[in-house]
Amino acid sequence: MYQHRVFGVALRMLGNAAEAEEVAQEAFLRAHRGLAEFRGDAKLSTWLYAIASRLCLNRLATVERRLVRQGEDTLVRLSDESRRPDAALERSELEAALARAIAELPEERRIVVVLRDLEGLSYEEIAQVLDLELGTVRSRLHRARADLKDKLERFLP
Amino acid sequence: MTCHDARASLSAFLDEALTPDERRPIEAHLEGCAECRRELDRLRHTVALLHRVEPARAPVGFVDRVTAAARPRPWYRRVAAAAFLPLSVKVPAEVTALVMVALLAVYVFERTPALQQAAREETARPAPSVQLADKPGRPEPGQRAVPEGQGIVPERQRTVEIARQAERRMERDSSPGSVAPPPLAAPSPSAPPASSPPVAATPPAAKTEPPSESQVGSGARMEAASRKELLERPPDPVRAAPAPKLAAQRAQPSADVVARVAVKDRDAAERELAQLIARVGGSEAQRRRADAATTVEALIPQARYAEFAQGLTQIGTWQVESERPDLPTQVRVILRLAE
Repeated sequence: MYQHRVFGVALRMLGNAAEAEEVAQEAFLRAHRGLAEFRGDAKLSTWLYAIASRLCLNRLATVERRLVRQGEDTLVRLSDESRRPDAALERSELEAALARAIAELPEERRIVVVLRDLEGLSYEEIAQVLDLELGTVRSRLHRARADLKDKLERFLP
Repeated sequence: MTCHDARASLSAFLDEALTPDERRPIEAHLEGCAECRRELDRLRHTVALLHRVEPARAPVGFVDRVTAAARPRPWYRRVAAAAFLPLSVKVPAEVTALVMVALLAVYVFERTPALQQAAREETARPAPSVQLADKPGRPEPGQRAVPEGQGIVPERQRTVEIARQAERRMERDSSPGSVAPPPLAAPSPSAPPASSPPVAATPPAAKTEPPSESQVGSGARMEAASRKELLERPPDPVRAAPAPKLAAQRAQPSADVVARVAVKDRDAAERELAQLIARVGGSEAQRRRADAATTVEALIPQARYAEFAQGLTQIGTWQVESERPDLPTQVRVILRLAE
């Protein structure tokens, strides 16, 4: 159950199944090792999401930094690669467009929309997971949705 | 409220994540702004599209891999089990090999006196292999009479009889060695297991009994044939001539000297004899203690044989049953101590 959720977040965030599995596995291992630190007042799922989200963002930050160093061309190439989501996701044009639109979001917006609209977390939970103010969650989510609305214009009635 | 302000909260408005105080001005604006209502609608549809995204599923085996990685001990155990799996095959095989080597070592060890004797004879005589193989088969009249002599237990005398019968049968048989019973073995398959040719009175020959018990039929023939082959090698024509036919059956003691020693106290005599052997620089090759007599086989340096013989007279009354005319440098003496 949790493995699918954690893997799902990692996959949406990283756009690569192998990398997503790696991160998801690491998330569970960290959770296992840090089980003593787990606070009973939080939901286990929230805690797992927090670990996974942090891992994903750290990894993306590392990749981004590397790309910035390597120059614009590489960034463009990665952007192309990131537009190629997992084959299983490309079941339809809509799904492909959705995946691509999500992948193209800036990661701090992407993680919020993934947690909210794909994983169904509440604003409070997202604030807890990402250690953000509620207002920040709200504004990031709004910007993310506005971006997606523009990208998915042709699918809207 | 401007459209810009209202739109910034439309997402939260949609999710009903606003407090009533935040919600009211938005509702008021939406009532009067068709553009913002359209925007809210598009946003609602966008979220609806997002909800259509199929939830991802972790790959098959993901949980197993996580579990394996999270629990080091079972993981190591599995790796260890995989690594040592071949050993479950190897270990029994190695143990078996070890046991076989150990048994072989014991067997060789038991035969050591005979091997030592062979080695000594090798230094003293020109044809050692023949000497060893031929021990009982050498047709030396002086010695041949000995084992048939007295002092042997009745069972051995019976064995001698059986050996003679076998010899007669063999002599009738034109093909030498074809059914020759091994000289050290029972003369015929019908012979009792403990039987051996007269030479069995000598400890080294007796030592070879165990293999002989099982060697009947082809095994015996093979052994006889190999002995025949060895016998054909010696340079001595006198020995070589009768060897093919008779070597297999002629049981001759390999000892240079065979003697009986009548003693008063066998235990004491044994001790004295051991001391005597040690004193003259000899070595006791074997000792067999039976009810009637104790048979001691010893190797005495020829140079000190006279001293040994002298010392023997103090142990008991000894009577030479056979003695080789030309004693080798290491005289092999078989003594039967009897009260």
